[in-house]
Amino acid sequence: MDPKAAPALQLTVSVRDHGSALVLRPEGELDHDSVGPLRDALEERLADPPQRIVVDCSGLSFCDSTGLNLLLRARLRAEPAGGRLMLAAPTPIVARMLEITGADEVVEVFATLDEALTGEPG
Amino acid sequence: MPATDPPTAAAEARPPGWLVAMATGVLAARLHCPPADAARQLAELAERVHLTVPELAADIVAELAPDTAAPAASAQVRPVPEPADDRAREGDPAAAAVLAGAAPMAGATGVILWTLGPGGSLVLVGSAGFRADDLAGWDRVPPDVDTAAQRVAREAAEFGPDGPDRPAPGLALAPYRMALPLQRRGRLTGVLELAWPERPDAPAPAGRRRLAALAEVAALALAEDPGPGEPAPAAQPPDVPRSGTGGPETATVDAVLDPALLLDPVLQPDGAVTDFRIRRVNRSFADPAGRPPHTLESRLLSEAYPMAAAEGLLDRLVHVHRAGRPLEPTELRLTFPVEGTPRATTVRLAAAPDGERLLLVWRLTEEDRRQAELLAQAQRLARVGGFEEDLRTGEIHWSPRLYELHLITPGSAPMPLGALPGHVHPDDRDAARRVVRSVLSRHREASAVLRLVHPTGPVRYVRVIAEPVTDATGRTVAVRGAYQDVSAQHRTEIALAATRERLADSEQEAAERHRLALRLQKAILPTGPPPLDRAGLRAAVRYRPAAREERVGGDWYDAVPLPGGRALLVIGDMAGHGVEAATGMVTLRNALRGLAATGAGPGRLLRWLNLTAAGLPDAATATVVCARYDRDGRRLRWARAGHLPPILLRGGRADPLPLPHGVLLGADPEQDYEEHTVPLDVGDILLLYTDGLVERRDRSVEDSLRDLADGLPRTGDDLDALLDTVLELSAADTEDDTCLIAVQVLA
Repeated sequence: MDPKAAPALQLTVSVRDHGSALVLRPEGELDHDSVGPLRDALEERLADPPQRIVVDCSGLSFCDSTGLNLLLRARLRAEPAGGRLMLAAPTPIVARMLEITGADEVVEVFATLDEALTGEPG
Repeated sequence: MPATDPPTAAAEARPPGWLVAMATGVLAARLHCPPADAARQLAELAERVHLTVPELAADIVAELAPDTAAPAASAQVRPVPEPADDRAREGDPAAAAVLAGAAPMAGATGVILWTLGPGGSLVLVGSAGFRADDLAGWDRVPPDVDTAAQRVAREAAEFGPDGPDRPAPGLALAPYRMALPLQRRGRLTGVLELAWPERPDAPAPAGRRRLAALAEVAALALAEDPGPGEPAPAAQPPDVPRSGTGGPETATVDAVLDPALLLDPVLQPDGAVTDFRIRRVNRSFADPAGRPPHTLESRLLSEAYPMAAAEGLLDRLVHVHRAGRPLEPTELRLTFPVEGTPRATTVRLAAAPDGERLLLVWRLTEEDRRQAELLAQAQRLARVGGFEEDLRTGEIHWSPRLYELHLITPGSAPMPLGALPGHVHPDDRDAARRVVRSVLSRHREASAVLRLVHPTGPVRYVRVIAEPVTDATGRTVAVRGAYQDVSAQHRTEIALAATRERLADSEQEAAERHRLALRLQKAILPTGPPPLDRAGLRAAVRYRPAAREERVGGDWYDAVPLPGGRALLVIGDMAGHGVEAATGMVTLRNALRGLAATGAGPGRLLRWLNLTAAGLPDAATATVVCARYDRDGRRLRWARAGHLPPILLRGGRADPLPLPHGVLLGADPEQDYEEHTVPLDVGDILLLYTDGLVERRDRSVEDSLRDLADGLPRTGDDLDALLDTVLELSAADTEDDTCLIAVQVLA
């Protein structure tokens, strides 16, 4: 069995441009096994990031520490190149995880995708 | 760069090196080591947290002073000042008596009694007229802090009245100081320091005589004190060199330049001496068998050096003790085990009674010392095998590793040096012959790097070192030397490079890395219950590895006793799995242990740990709970970095503690960590755990936590049973690894 096939069932990532912003929408569960697709998608665009990178979390039912680490790393990579990585519309479980870990103080989190696309730095 | 809490205004007026000296003093007191060692440790810690030494020192000192610049967080706790050691309280009646005498005479409001510590430091033994706050951090004053007391210690002469700017404990209250040397039998044993709020008049002659009398009394009081020469507590970080304080009792052996041991006689019931215990070895001492010095201290001589003891060393020492007279320098041929091989060595030794003890000084002869150095050098490197051949009898001794190198079964006949050329690669035969000729015919030391070949094994690059051993007439009677396998380095590097080139997710590499990670983890997480009884705690630990093998993760815990009846409790979770997570976890764990020695509270420790994490490769992140329990007052002071809160079991209830603010480690270097203080009762049980215990894909972690807390057994003191139940109840479904520690407050 192709080792990449199993994770793909857990997480799919769609990528689209929205004006000058980039929106990534991972769907499914983000954990140690499934980070691959999201990591690949981010890698591609972080080399020359747009000003605004929004990770639409509305389709993310679960995110563990590996997933969080990936998002934080991606933010660190984007920043010096002038890119702002932010999270939008996390589900309650994910939102609570962001709160407990304090990650919501380090990375911008918006309640809706629209707010993320138009929001100014807090 | 995070802002450090500014020291008080008075501190800013002091000379700049003062903060560093103070911080060094704090470390020296806690680690029971001389100031020089503490200074090295301070530098190492600073490097670990990526601060300069003055910055870290300022942080450490800020932890001691009342926090005037604390941020306005409602649950911010004022750091509890360090009480002086328990010993200080013994000195207090003496200090109080002296104060009672000084007060009517000169209006002094404070008095401090100091005794001499190692490396020129002063140890605070007793005080009166000061609050514990004022004296925090002054337990041990290194020589470079220019206090009135240090001046007197250096010059052994009275000093003062002086002030108000010279550094001193409790400076704010009583800045004028006078200090008097305390002497016993003509030797300086301590200092008596007097303090006034206003500048006193210089005492008249009668006043001076009275002060001198007071000083004599104080010196007597000191003499009854046990003194600072106590062995270090078990909680020392492993990388501080040479534990064990010196003091007046061990001063002699410390002062001797030759390698020396201080021995305590072991008395039989009938009063006969049959053995000695090694009380202390000095800095010049190097064990002929290559063992680290601190492993010899407290051992019996006959057990540390069985062959030498039997060959006449013990007899001579017993005689010295009985007769009470020194042993004049004598040469003895004694046997010591080196690399598993007994080696006869000529030792020049002398011994003398030192009070009730015995001072033994020995020197290896020149030739043996050279060889010992050669071997010691070789031993520092990996994979060395030693050999010795007696050319008269034909006897050959090989260390076990040498058999390995030559691929010969231990016990079968070893090969003499002369046969070496026949065992090397044809291209290296000439070089091998040159070594043999040099040593055997020309009686000269020689070495070469050669390829050892064997019909069935791999080719090995070895460095051969050999030298002749001559007798009194200069005839070569033996040959000895070592083989060092240098091929391992070459090969590992080549292999690593090749492995990297192979695809990163090849099955074999994954399996190897997993095995390594498991090994690392087993080595890191101690199995037995942590030794916390001095802090009045009992603890049990469980580690449940991930269900799927390749998920060996970064969970860790630590439970470390601290001086003064305290304990450090830590639970942590490094993001990721495998070797990277395991090594990152070890880095953080060791950093925290080292930093805990500064006496800083959990909030500060996490701030430093966060700085350390920022230096880890690959933007690693981790969550941690760091708690410090103080037996005195049964207070738990804790902080967290993004981690789930401990659960407190008390009186039939189980509740997660409220969350202090703190962001996970490694996400942002400029973070502060809020502390909470929780008073605990006897019987309380605290449960620390990682999220693998409660993580579910379909429920919030808080709900899972609530369910777990509700399901916990209400009563019972069996911690092991509790932990087993907790694991059973755990409804986690993410198959992550889990670590839990249960801590119970005893008396």
